[in-house]
Amino acid sequence: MAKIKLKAKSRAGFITVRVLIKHPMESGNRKDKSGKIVPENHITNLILKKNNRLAAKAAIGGSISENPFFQFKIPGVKGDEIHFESIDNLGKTLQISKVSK
Amino acid sequence: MNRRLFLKQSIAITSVATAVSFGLLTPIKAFANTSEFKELSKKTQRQLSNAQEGEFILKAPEIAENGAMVPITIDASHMPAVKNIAIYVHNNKVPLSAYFEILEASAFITTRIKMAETSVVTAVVGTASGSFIRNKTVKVTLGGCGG
Repeated sequence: MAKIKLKAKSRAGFITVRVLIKHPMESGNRKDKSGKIVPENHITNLILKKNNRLAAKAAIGGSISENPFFQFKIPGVKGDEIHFESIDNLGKTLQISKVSK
Repeated sequence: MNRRLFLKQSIAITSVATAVSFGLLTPIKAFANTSEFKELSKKTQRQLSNAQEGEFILKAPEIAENGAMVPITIDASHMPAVKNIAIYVHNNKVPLSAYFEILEASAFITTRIKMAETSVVTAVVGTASGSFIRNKTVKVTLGGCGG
């Protein structure tokens, strides 16, 4: 199942990278119906690479929305390889690689 | 003698129990923020305190009907040597939303954040020549962080 979707499109020297991750992003502050705190489960780090070189990094907290969406812009041309990785606080890693259109 | 022993034991048991209850409580709080994220949060606060108004674009809705999904766009791609971009929501329990490090990308970020209540959203752009901020108030009709 695709838990992570990535679209990379080049235009005028820039690649627009759009990423959609399927993730509950529980901040650990929310309570469920019975009043119990929903355990924390959110993405903590993002890594974006172009042709195996680090382009951008991010540290995010639980206050990014559920099923987070990100858009980046990287200088590049068609055919560049885009790699994206996310790590959550439980140590689960999701990754995807795609060639830019 | 027996009574003393009983007292001692009961004290020992209660102290263990409190320790356990504290021990059970702490993981939730301790994991609320990783040490790395806390460090970044402090760094952003420092940046905030000596930042000037910058000339970049912060796009955020004036009124967000749903606080669970507030689209934010920061475009500082015309600014030279941007190192990092942070999104800071003042009235959230954890004010720092995201901290992006720009290495070989343009300073352009779009994402969707959660907001607990109406608050000022600050975008902090750190460049080689100092930090720049831009504020925008976003009204939230329905909170998205729970509590």
